[in-house]
Amino acid sequence: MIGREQETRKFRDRAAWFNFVVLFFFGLVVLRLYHLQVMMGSELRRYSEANRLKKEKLFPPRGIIYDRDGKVIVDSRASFDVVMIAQYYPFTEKVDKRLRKVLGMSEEDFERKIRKARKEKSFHPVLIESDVSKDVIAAIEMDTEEFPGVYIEASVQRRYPYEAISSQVLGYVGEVNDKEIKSYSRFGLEMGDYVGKVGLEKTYDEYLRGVVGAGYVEVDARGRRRRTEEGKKLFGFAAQTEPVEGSALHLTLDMDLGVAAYEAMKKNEFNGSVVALDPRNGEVLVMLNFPTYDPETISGREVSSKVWAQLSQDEQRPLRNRAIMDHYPPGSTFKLFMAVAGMAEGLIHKDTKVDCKGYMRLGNRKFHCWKKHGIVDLTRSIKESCDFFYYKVGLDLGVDLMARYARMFGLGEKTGINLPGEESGLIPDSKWKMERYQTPWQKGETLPTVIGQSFVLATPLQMANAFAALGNGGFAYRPYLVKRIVNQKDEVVREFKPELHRRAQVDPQILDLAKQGAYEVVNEPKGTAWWSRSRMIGFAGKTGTSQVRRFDNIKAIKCPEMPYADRHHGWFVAFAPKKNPQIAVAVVAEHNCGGARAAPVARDVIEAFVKKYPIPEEELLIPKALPAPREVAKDIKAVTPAEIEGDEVPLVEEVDE
Amino acid sequence: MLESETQKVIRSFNIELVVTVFGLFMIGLFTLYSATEAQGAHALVKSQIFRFLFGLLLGAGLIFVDSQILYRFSYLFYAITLVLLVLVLVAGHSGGGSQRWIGFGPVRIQPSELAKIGAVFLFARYFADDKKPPPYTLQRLLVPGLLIAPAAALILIQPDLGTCGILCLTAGSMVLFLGVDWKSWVIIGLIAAIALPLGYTYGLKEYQRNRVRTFMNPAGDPRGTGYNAIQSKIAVGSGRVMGKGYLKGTQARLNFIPEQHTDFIFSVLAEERGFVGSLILIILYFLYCMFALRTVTRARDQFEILLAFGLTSIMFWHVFVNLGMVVGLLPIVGVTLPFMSFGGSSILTFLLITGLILNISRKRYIF
Repeated sequence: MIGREQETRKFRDRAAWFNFVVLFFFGLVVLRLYHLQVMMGSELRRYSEANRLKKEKLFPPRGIIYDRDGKVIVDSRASFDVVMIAQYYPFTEKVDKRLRKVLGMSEEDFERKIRKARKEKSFHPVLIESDVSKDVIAAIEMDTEEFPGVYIEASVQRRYPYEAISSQVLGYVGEVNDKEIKSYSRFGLEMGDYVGKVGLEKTYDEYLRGVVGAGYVEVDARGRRRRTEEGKKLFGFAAQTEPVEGSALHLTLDMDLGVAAYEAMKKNEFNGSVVALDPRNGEVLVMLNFPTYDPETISGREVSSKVWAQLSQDEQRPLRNRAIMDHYPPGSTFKLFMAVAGMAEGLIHKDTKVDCKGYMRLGNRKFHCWKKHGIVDLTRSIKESCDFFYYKVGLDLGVDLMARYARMFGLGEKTGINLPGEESGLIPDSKWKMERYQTPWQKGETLPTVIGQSFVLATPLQMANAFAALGNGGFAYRPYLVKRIVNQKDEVVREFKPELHRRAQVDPQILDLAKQGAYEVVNEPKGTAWWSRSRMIGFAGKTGTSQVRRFDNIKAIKCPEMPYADRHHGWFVAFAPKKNPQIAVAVVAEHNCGGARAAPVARDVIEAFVKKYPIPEEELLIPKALPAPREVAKDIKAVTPAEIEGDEVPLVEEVDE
Repeated sequence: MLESETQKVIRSFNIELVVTVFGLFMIGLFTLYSATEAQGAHALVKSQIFRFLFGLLLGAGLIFVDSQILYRFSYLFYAITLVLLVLVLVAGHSGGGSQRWIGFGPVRIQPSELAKIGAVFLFARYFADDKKPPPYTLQRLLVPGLLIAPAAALILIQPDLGTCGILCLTAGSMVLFLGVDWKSWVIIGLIAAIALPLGYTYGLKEYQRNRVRTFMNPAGDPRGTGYNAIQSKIAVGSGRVMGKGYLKGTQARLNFIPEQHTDFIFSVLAEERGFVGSLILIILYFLYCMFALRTVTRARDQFEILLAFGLTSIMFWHVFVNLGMVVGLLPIVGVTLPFMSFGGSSILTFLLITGLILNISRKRYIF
């Protein structure tokens, strides 16, 4: 083991040598320290005093949003904010007064900002006023001595050329908050960065946002900033990273149709929603809501608390995207799908005739039809919206078959459109009833259900999509708003293709019969939307009324006489042309008593479509009796009975035996 | 009898090493107080002292363990650290984007810290058992390389680039210390030249790549790690020769420096105590390494030599990588500064290492 001994001794000697290795490496650190602390020390000391070297954000322009024709719906412009670094601001009454005057702020607002600035860490810039005018910029920049510690910061402001059209769909942009910073952590967002708050701005934020750049600025003793060449020398790098512009969204929306829909809703002073789709692929052409707002007023670094309070507390909820977030009973528009269900199950056919006696008796209750129709066949039951006919169909089908067919068209579940907050609507069946109420389904519940009242709920988007599917032979596509996303180098980052959502396996002849009924609703005398027919095209549609409140004595008060909040909502869902639909439109006019009132809006959208996209002569099917040009009465009390005929919610009456 | 035994222990005790440790720890406490004055320094200092005392107890216990036992349990110890590393991946707590902690009741430990010591045990035992004399060729290094690979890999995927680096540097130092055949050097060099860019592209996570990029060009990411690197440099440099004075540093105290009480604690000292203070600290670390290396010359056998050398290596690399990172010589990786950085796992690890070194140094006199 002598060899081992020697080995061991050799290692001992070698260990001593490693002292020099350690010395060498630590020597490197000491040399570096000498360089930093002794040679560069005084320069670096200057930087550390008041931390002269500051990081400044360089905001990229956010991605532009285009409509399907390349029209700009949302873009950005440069804006300027007034900020303050408390460390350099004197906080004297004189300067306060001068600054407040230049900014034209109220005393109260100004005081709040000054208090905030005092509280902040002294070197953090605090926003005093965002998006100021050129005059303010000039006043502050020209006379820097007057406003120590106050300066102008470049920022980006979102711009919405179409103002209030589709604002709930587009969304708005604001400074990121604590909660969002956490959920977006993988993108490395910081306080002061912007994110989309709702709508498309939120859903596609990661594309639109771009990359915030940063630069170093040196702050002089007065608190002014300037770009530093010295810093570049000192740290040996280019002291700036350029911001990267966000990607552009190319939407499926057609703003020409959007303007038409907006004008129609506005003219009639309706609250509610308009959705238009391309039945051939699920592209959303129009989605807008009333009341609405101009997103520019709440987009940006700071929102006026007054404007925000007004919008968020408005009882009419202008911020809400009703088209997907609100669901209403679809009323008689639902009958179309029940007609399909009845035919598909062989319970009714083209020539089925029913004698409408004006009511149906079930147990000790009388379920009324809105009118005593007499002998009614299938197409007439749609055209004149006979409740009695569908009571019979409903009782024969039973709730579960009704639900099965309604769901085939995508009702009762989210359509899966890529927007936050979509409602799923509701198609009830016996299983649902048991789970929800622990009681079995009652026959008496089938009757209001088959005419789209009681439990049945659908969003405007769902109804538009279901009608689109009915029109195109049973294909319910997943509605989508974004066609493609293109980055600043003009490369397509993401592309969206039509996707089949639900398929209604129904004989096309059956669908054609239902479509014929819907055509007659508009284009035949006594049709419930006869007064809204068009001179340009014979479109198909169905009126509907959703009951807002239950009344014990509904007959006693006519809808127009009710208080606003109690009046029924009007639905009108349409598609055109009848044979191979290219557009499907759903309109909800809240508290307007009937679907016939909503029909002119859909007609205007369809007419705008026909003007823009020529339709083959043989598919136009212009009605034989052309309508005289006339306006819908604005005052609901002056509405002629003919206008809301067929839209009364049928009465259910308790009968004493 | 009992007295003479005690006398022996005292006489053989590497008292200068202990004094150095206390010196470093005291400087650490004062710096920690300054670094965290704004965020409840008292609580942090108190908990740091408590952890130090706890570590002292464990470290002192290790002094009296028979070296035969250490030898016998070397492989087992390494195996246990491997099991803990697997556990931490399966059931660990995460912090700062990586999964490094594992809890046993109220105690949370960082197995990667233990793994460094485990790896030293593994190599000490393996090479002590190897009867063929050095120099080592690549073929002969294959087996120990494969043995240590799982620990390195498990730490890398946590991900903890810093600790994995220390582990590899320590293992490498030990092999170097044993002696490597010159032909193998050439091959190692070639492999490294190929593996480094490949590892950079496929082995590292995006944020780790960012750090390396930032190190090469701090302006590439002035919002994130580049900002830290620059602010750290400013803090250190602004200390100049004499420093700004205790509790007078502005950079670290105003939160410009991230982790100013853990990984970046040296920047606080450098800013407040300047070049002179920094030099004193570095000299203390040098003394520690020197006293620890002296232990190697007192060791009885190959196993003890390698153990003492390996443990000293851990210490040395920790100091060098941490200081190098703070002064901008090396990329920013999460490596603590021994006895200075706040944190129980770090304090405990270095007290255990010191305990083991003291264990080896006393042997020569007792037997």
